[in-house]
Amino acid sequence: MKKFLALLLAVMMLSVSAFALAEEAGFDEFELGVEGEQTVDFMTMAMVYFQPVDMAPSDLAASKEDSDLHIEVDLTANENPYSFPVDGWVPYLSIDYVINDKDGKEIATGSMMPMAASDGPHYGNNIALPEGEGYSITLSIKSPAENGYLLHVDEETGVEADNFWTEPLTVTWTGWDFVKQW
Amino acid sequence: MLKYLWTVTEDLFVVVTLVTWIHAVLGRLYGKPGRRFNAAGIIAGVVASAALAAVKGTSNRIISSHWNHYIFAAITLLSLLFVLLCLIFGRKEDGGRGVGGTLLCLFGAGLSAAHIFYALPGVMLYPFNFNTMGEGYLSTYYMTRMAGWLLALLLLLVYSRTLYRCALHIKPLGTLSALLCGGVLVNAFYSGGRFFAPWVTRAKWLKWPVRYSKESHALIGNWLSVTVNHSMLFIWLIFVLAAASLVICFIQNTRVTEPWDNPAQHRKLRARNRSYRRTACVAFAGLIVFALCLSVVKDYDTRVIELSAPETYTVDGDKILVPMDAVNDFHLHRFEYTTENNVNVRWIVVRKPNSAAYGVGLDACDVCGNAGYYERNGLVVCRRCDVVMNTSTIGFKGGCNPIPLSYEVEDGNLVFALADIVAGEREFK
Repeated sequence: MKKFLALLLAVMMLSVSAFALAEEAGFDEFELGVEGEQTVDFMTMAMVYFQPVDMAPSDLAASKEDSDLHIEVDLTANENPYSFPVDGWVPYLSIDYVINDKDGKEIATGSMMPMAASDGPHYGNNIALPEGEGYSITLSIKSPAENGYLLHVDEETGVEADNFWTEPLTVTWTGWDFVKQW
Repeated sequence: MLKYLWTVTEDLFVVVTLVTWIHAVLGRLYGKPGRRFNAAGIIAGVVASAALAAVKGTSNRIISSHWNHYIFAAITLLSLLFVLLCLIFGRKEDGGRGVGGTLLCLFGAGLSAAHIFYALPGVMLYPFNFNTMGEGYLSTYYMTRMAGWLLALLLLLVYSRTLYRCALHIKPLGTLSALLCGGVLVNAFYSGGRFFAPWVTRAKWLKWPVRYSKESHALIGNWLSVTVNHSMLFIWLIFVLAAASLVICFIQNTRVTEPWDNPAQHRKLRARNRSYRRTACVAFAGLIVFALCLSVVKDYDTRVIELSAPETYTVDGDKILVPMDAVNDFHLHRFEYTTENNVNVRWIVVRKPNSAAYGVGLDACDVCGNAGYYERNGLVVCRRCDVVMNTSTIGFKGGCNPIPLSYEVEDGNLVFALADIVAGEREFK
């Protein structure tokens, strides 16, 4: 019995110390698709995915329990006529996604919500998706005007543009092999 | 409840089967010392899993993808070594252990620990991640999920016990060893493929000197591909091996083959065989339950709900009229309008309980897009995220609620402005 308890204790202590010390804190993001970073109009975008996460307020997002992964698009503004800070995040966008399998069949759709993680703000969501190869994801990016974001357009204080884009911008990542590694 | 019945089964079935067989084989080879080795491996696996789950659940120090990479490597290597040693030293029952036998016991125990360490932490964390819709640990949501989780664990425990008993009576030992080695190799193939996942998917943290390319590393790409596209196949292969072991046990114990001296002894041997056959039947029943969980129950639980057909209404100039009589029954009603751009805009109407008011909104929400809602047991549920709507708040803005749509009541009709419906086009493009 003493040997058994000693074994238990030793394994427990070794495990806890190993887990507590062995890893750097953080999480691992996986590149989504083969295109890497893409430029869409005035924005540079990259898509990544990782394990589903808890978000708050919980009623604004799909739950971790009912999801297979978290997708997110990291985007920054380049030189632009809307006066968004260069290299900064672009707020007030509405981003919808459509995921197709390698045969082009639509297998998931939804919206990406604005949110912040430890690495900064982004658009993302938890989604349910089976593992598979050759997926593609198309984003449809609607202008901030649809969420009530205004532009100054007078001569004195106005931005360079007269208005935001009216048709959604689209961008696609292809050749996404979705493998759960968590 | 159903979700955790099949999820826990899927997570643990292979592990339970292989660890049980390792225990039986080491026990038959080396008696109590063999079983002790494996028991130590099981305990180490469970304790390490609990520690990992605790650290993972309370901090961000565990990056699962990194851990899994190394665990897959460990499982693959230990599996190959175990099978090799099993072929060399695992032939004679209750034989002397020697150096080879000790190594076999060590690798067997290590393999048990690695299998458990891979699968168990996630299962241990499930109860801490149940979605209780904000209603806490004493809610029906939590209890039903907990019941599914516990039931799956209980079934696996009973299955393991009966499978073990059958494994002890399969003759000769080589038959059991062959089944075990087959199962271990199937799982090693799966783990080996998964080991390469970070490399093939070009995970940034993995600093291997050679970059993966589809053309020059097709074999490894295809290996991972098989494990991704046919992950259930590996579980079913182990399932077939487990079923085969039970059939063998049943058949081998249908008649008494040992010599007997008198009728009483014969009756005793027949009773013993009957007991083994019953055990095999119980284990087989468990396998059938698991098969149902992994097929019928899983398919049912993950089915895509078809939206109900849109109902009829009247267009009157720039208005849409829905007769109140048609939507007064407290059930969900769906309507659809095709715009000039050929976009089908859907909206829903449900009369609120204990009220004359109606919950009205587009058949879409900000979170899940145009997935739509359906009625389940009188409740309105999002087809995408399975969240049950509070019918009283349908028509309010925000969260998982349908995007609100304004309406008026006129002459027994719910009246919608056609322009409002058309404006909803963007949600359905």
